[in-house]
Amino acid sequence: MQQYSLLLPEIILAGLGLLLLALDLTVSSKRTLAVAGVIGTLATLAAVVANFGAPATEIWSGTIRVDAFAQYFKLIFAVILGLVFLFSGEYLERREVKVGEFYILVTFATLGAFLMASSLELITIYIGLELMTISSYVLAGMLRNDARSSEASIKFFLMGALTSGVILYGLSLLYGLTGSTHLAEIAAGLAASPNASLITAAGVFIIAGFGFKIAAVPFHMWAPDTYEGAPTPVSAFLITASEAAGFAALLRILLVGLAPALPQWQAVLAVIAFVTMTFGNVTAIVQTRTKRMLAYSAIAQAGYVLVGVAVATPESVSAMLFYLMVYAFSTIGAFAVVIMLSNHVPSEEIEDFKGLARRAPAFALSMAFLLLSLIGVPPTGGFFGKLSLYRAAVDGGMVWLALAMVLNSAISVPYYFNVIRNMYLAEGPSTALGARPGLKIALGISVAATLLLGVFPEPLVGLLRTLHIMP
Amino acid sequence: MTAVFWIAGILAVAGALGVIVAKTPVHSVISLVVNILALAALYLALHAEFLALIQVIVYAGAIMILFLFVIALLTARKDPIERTEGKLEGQRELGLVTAVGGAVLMIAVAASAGLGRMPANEALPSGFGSAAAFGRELLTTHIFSFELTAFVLLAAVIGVVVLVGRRQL
Repeated sequence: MQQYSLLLPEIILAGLGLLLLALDLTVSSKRTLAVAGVIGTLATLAAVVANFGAPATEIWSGTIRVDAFAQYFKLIFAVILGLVFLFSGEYLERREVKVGEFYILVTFATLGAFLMASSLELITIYIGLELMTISSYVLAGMLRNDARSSEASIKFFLMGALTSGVILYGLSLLYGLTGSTHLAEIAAGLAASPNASLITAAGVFIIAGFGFKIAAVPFHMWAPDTYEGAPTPVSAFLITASEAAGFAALLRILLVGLAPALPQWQAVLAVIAFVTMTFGNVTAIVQTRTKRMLAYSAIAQAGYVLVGVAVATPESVSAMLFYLMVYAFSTIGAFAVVIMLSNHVPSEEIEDFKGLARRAPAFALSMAFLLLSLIGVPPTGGFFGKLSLYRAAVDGGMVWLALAMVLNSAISVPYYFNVIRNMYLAEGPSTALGARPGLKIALGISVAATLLLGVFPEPLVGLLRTLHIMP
Repeated sequence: MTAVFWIAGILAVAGALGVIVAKTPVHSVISLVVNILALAALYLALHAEFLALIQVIVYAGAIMILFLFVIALLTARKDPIERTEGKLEGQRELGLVTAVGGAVLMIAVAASAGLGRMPANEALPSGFGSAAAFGRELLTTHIFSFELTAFVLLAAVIGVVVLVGRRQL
C-alpha cells in the first residue's frame, strides 16, 4: 500500500483531471469547475506536503522516485496550477476559450510536470514530458478566433515534436551505452566503461533537446511567438511550470545520469547560460507588446536559472531551486495583472499600462513590486534568489558568470522600469479597473509569497539544504 | 548479415532521399514506405523482431494509410504542390550544409567509438527484442509508464476535440 500513499499527489491530480472532465459535461456553471480545480489543487498540495518528510523511496520497479527534491518541484507546480485556476476565469470567458477543456488540459499538463520531477527513470521522464507538452500544444492554440494563437500552437508543436525526437536520440544513446534506463545505473555504467565520443554525442542531444524545452538561446526561436500568441494564462503556465519541469528533468539527467562526464558539459552550459540571459535582456528592451516583453524576460530568467545547472555544486542547485520558486510567484503575479488589464484593454501593448496607478492603485503597486523582484531589488524574493545564485557561482569558480549576471540585471532595469514608468508617470485614461475575487486572491498570494521569500528566506533555504538530487 | 545491412541501409537512405526529392506527395509517401520497410529489415538483422513487426504494422501500415488519406483529401490534383522557392533565402543551401555537417560529425563519432564493440551488444540477455521479452518488461517494470500513456492519449483526444470541434462554448 505504501506505493499508493507515496503516489497520492499524482493520484489526486489525475483524479481531478477526470473529475473536471465529468463536471464539464454535467455542470453548466464554469465557475464551479474553477472552484473544484482549486479544491483539488489544495488537496494535491496537502498530499505533497505530507510526503515531504518521508525518506527517499523508489517505487514501481524504480520508475518513480519520491524524495524531497521531487516534492519541492511538485510544490511549485501545484502552486502554479492553483493560481492558474484562480486567475483565468474571466479571461477565458471574454476570449471565448472552451473553459472546461482548458482546466482539464492544464491539470494534465501539471500531472506530466509532476512525473518529470518524480523519476530517475528515462521512460517515465519522457512520458511525463510528452503528457505535459501535448497538453501544452493544445492549450497554446485555444484562442480559435486569433490567428496568432494558431501560429503559436503550430510553431510550438513542430518545434516540440522535433526536439522530443532529439531528446529521445540522446536518451537512446545512453541506453545503448549502459543497457539501462535508470539514471543511477546509467551513471554507474558510464563510469565503468567510459566511451567519450558517444557520451558527448548523447550529452549534446540531451542539452539541445531540453534547451528547446526551457527556451535557452540558441534554441529559443519558438518561444517569443508561442508565449505571445498563446492565451495569457497559458503563457504564464508555460513560462513558469513548463520551464521548471524542464529544469527538473535536466538537473536529474545531467547531475545524476551524466555525472561521470561532468567537466565535458559544464563549460558548454555556462556559455549557454550567458548567451541566454544576455540575448533575452537585450531583446526585451526593444519590445512594445507586453507579452512579447515578458517572453524575452522569461528567456533571460531561464539564463539565470541555468547558471545553477552550469555551476553544478549542491549550493548552486539549492540557489537555483530557491530562484525557481520566487520566479514562479513573481511571474504568475505579473501575469495576473496583465490578464486583469487585457480583460479591459485587449490590445496587450505596454502603452496600455499608462495611468494604471490611478485606475487600479493596488494592481499597479503589486505589478511594480513583482517587477522589482524580477530585476532583483531588495526586499523582494528575487533579490535573495539572485544573490544566492551569484554567491554559488563565485564559490563554484565561475566568477565571470557571476559578473555577467550582475551586468545583465543592470541591462534588465530599463524594460521592467518602462512598465513602472508608464503606470505611475504617464497620463492615461482614468476609468477605474477591477477584477474578480479569484484574480485578486491569486495576485495577493503571489505578492505575499514574493515578499515573504525576500524578508524571511531562512526557512526555505534551510529546507533546500536538506534536499539531495543524487540518490 | 553484413549483406543485409548494406542492402537495407542503402534502401533506407535512398527512400529517405526520395521523400524529400519527389515532386508529388504520393511518391514521397511511397518512398517513405521503402524507408520504413528497410529499417524494419535492419531491426530484424539486430534481432529486434518485435520492433521490426511493429515498424511494419504501425508505420508502414496504419500511419502511411493515414498519410495517403490526408493527401487524397487535400490534393486531388496531379500538379506538384510546391513550385516556388521557400520564403527564407538560402534555406536549401543552409540545410545542405547542416545535413552534410551533421552526417560527418555522426560518422566521426561512430568511427571513434568503434562500431560493433558496444558494451551493450556483448551483454544482451537471451530473448532480447522478442515479443515475449518486450511484453514482460512493458507489463512488469514499466507498467506505470504504460498506464500513463493512457493520459497522454486522453489529452490528445481532448486536444483534437478542442482544436477542430465546432466553434462554440
